[in-house]
Amino acid sequence: MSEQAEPVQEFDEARFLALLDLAGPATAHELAARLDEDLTQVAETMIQAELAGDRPQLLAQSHVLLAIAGTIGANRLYLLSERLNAQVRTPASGPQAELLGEIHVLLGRLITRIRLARSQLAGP
Amino acid sequence: MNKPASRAAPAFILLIEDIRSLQLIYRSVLQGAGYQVRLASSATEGMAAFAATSASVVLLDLGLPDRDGLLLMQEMLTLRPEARIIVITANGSINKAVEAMRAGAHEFLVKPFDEGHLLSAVSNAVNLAQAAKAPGRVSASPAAAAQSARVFLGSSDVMGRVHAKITSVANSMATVFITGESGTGKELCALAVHGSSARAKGPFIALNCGAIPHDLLESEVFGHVKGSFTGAIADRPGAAKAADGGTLFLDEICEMAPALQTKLLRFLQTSTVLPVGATKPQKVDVRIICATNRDPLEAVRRGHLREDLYYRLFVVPIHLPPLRERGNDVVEIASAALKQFAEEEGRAFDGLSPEVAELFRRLPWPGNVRQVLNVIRNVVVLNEGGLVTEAMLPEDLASAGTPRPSHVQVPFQDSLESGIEGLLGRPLAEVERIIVTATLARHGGSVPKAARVLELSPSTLYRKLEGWAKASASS
Repeated sequence: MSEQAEPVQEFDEARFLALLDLAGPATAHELAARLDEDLTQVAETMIQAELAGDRPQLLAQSHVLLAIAGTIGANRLYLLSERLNAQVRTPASGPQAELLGEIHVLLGRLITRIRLARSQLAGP
Repeated sequence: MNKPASRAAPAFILLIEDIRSLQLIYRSVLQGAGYQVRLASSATEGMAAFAATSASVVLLDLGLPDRDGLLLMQEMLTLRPEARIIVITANGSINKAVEAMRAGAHEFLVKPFDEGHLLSAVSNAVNLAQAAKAPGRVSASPAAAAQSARVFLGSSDVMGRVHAKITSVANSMATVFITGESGTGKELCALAVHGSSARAKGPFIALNCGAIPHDLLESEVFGHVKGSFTGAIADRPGAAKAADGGTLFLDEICEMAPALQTKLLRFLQTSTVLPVGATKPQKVDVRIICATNRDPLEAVRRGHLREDLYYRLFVVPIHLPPLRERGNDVVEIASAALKQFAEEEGRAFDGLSPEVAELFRRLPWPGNVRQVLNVIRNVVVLNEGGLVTEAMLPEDLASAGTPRPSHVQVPFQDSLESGIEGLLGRPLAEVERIIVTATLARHGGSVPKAARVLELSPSTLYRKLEGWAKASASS
């Protein structure tokens, strides 16, 4: 992969909505709720791992994040979590603070978007 | 959507995945395609569900919280060896997926994956699992598989291990990567894997990537449509389509042009082919076996083989040893060939003399089995019969047996020793600098490439280079 940051669509809204459609009306709310819980868990665990310098935990969370982000169309977050995964694996270097910062910003935005869907799907 | 073929009852899939949101997405995709799905979130739950149900296809995430997914898979296969287990792994953990394929997984999926890829893998596993249960199953029995795997003659230990590997890998969908010197029987090995597999009744299509001009290779592999280029006077299916339901053997894979490697990678990821000039991809069900007489990892290092393609292909490696390392196998092969060729030519031979057998064991056989067969054919054609003596052998062959050459190892060993000699006595920091500089030179000055080989981060390498440059400037 090129070292240069490639312009990618931050969030593929159509992809996300297609997954909710696929889940169907009965399950779409549950899917949004689970995504919210899983991503919030990743965000919290990553912060703890960063503070403790816990590389195995950071690696584990980068795996979860890239899998979810890549599946639901959070393309920019997916690329950054892949980069984080590669950095954590490299013994000579640690994850860069700048990268972690950008991940947290995007993760926060993604969780907000999912919570919006969750509230819309919850019904009256 | 890739719906399963109509059948009395929908196929039953066990999905073991600990990330709840992904579990739900995969379940939605599978149910949408008509499968029944049972969920489990841990290894313990998964094993209990596997034991309690008849699931013959399992989607198993290898990164489970309570236990190593590989161990769980092995336990499942011990309980029901016919189960088809598709392992799921995160991007960046491809080595674990490769390990799983070697341990008997049917297929692997790397997260994140799309619905098409998931359904294609599941559909393939379900079809094979059902074929294996049917009375007229096409998969070979263990005895038949073993017989088929013995297309190679030779009872040496090293070939025994090759036979065992062929038998164990045959019924998996794993890509097999055969390496070995020219003449060691790589295509026979591929045929043995195909012949021992559930695809034995399907086609076996072999393509030599090194023998076809680069500009025609894409058409040979993926086909073309009429009018797509000068000379394309009719639609023509490529080798990948012709091998549908069977095995595609790609020999001399390292000779494939880089652009075509990209298309092959896409083919492996999507199981679809796009003929030259076509706009609509076609789905095919093909098992890939490839081979090379080069060191594939070295080909990756030199940029001749894409690294991602290498990892896709190098799932189950089978190395065919050169004949000079197979002890008495050469005598067994020569004796069997003598009998067969004598029958074909209408001659009567009494076997090899002890001197010839001894000479054959001493010879280096750079052309391996192919060379032995040529020598025996020569003997049979030019002699009436009797016991094969040294006088009947081609002249250059008999003289080659006097010293036991080690033509492969010696130059390498020499260069290695002289290289080490040149480094001895120098400070470690200087040795490091020499190695780094040489590695950079080998990779055309590319810091990222050299860093990968040296297992350093590019930034570390840049820092080192910067430090050395400053030191040189100040001195």
